[in-house]
Amino acid sequence: MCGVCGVVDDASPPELTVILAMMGQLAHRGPDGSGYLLDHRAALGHTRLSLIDFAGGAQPIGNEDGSVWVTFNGEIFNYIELSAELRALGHRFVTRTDTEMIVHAWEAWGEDCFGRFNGQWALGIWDRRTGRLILSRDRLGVRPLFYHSRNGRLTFASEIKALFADPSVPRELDPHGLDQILTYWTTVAPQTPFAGVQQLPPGHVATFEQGVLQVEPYWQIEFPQRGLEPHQDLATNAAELRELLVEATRLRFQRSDFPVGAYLSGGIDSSVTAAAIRHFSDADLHTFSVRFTDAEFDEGREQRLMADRLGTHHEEVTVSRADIAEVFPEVIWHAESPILRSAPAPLFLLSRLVRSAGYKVVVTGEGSDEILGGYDLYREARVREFWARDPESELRGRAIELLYPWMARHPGQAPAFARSFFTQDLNQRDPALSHRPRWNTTAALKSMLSATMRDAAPAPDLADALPNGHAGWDPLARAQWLEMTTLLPGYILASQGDRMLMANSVEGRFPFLDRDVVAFANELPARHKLFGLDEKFILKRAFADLLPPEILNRPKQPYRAPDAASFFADGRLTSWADDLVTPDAVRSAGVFDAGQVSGLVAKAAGRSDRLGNTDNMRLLAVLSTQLLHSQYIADRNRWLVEPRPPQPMLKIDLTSTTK
Amino acid sequence: MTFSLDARVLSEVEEHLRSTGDRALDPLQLAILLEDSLGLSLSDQQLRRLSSEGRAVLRDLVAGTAAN
Repeated sequence: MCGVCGVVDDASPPELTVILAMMGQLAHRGPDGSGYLLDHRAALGHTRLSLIDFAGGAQPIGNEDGSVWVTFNGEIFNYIELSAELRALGHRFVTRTDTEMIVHAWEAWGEDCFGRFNGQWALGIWDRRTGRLILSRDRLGVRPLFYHSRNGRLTFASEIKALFADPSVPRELDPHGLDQILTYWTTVAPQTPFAGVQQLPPGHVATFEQGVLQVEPYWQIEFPQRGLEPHQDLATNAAELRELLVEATRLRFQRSDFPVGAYLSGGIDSSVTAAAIRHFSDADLHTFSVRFTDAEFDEGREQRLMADRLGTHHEEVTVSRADIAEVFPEVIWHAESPILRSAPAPLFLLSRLVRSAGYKVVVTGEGSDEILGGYDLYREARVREFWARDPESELRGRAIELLYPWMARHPGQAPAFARSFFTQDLNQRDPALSHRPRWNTTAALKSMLSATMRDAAPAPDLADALPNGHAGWDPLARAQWLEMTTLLPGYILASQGDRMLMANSVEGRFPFLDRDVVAFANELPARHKLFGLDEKFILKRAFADLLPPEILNRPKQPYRAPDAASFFADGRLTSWADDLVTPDAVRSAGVFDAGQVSGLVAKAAGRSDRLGNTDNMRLLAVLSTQLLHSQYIADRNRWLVEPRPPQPMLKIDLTSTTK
Repeated sequence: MTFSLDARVLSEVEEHLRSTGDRALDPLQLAILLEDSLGLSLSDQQLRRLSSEGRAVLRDLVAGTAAN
């Protein structure tokens, strides 16, 4: 895993000082070395986390005649097979890296090459033959890629902080980005929290030529029409899923020159990936878990159970509320976005543990809930759809008692708030029926916005962006599309994923997001994923023999961490936050209403342990947004970190050659 | 919905109920599964029948609803 950056400028040669400053901001993504390519109109930069071919893999890497160059962050897991194809076509390789395969694949197949890649990537290709820059990002957004384009100049980088090292990139929060976060929990690509900064949407390729940027998809999330799914047999599907997942895990475990560890959360997904490793390998396996001093959030018993069963060398970090408060500024610095939960903070501490144990790579279970129907939201949507078929039916209304055990213990007495929550916008024709309650609940946070922010046009309804043909999909597929377009790339894989891992120079690998696993899962009948209200039904069936019953039959426990309560001790707000929530600081940032923030902080100070869900999100939104504004805009000199690009540094200067 | 899909879903449900001793699916959950998988919409009367008689009436209900 690495950091990539670059500049293309039609008017003047990119400045070496700018590209070096950008590389410095990406040092944490690649501490093992760095490199740059300087050309007449383009510069590419790279910081390297070395996993394959330590001696030969320095970047940027070019083709045989130096006419095509790439800066690459990620892994193409089928690079050995693709390299063999390219050798057969006459291409000559000087390294054994997936990076070099990319330049030859671009030469051989052009934009079609990205559809052949099975992996996780963000990359920039400088094609000197045509004077074109090509940017590409993996299908589901595992790896980040941001850019700013104006007046014939395009600047791109793995992280926004590196874009800001280019003085031509503005620093300003974007009301539209904040509006999306206060609806969907995340921005939706190409939107980001910063004005003028965009992200390349997952599954897309961008070309920048003669000052014109074009962005096109090379892949899209697709589902078959309901009832016409090609694979209908449950036993066959379970066997196929197992085979694909084991192979996806094997690729991610074995294609590295350095040992690969695994996360164990205590849930099914990471248990499956760790068990899959054990299934094909007798190698030592090192597993890592996060635990909590708050028993409510702790899954230590299940983690230890799985580690013992697999015979792994297991390490854990136990996280307290004070730990979360202490690292939160660093978490926001790396996340580069307001967040509504504190859950990324323990994952930041977990990747720190991984790195201190000498590991650079971990296999994790992210993506399973999205592709195999694991979220409570999907179950809730099923019940809402069931109820929506006859909203007057008392019997159908009783189905909400199936959702959560505490409701089932009091039959017929589900609290009024639960009934009103699950009957919000109970419109069968709404393609976002599944997500409407969550979006509405989150949007309530906007009442705290300043008048200026509230006046900005609201984000378009994401339901309008569903692809043609979605009306024929199963409702679960529509819910999956919405989840795979919003929370997966924008939060799970970013604020909780890449950013928390790379903050400590650790690469995450995600077998559930393998190209072939996703394609297969998307073609499954909905009932094989969500059997009634039994989530990830087919996954449990496929791996029943490898998981202990305590894990297999355990009700899903969403990963959560203490939120507002983390930031108060003895009724006082944590010290670093004091300056951020004063009326002057809030008015200066211009995002929230200062009076409401003061009221919220006072309320939370008195009862931080008993804050409701909405107030918890409000407090997290305020603290994270104020931090973001302080770190990147208002007080950036106070937070400024200017690390140098890591050594050794590869320097390639083509400015003395012909254009 | 085709007859073959009806039959396949029913056999999956029956096999699951057999293997779990009828404990795994609440009758309302069973109704959700049938409606979602087969595009049915059961009446309140049929839902009550499913609640009281369980899997014994599955095939009757699906056949009856399809015929309707």
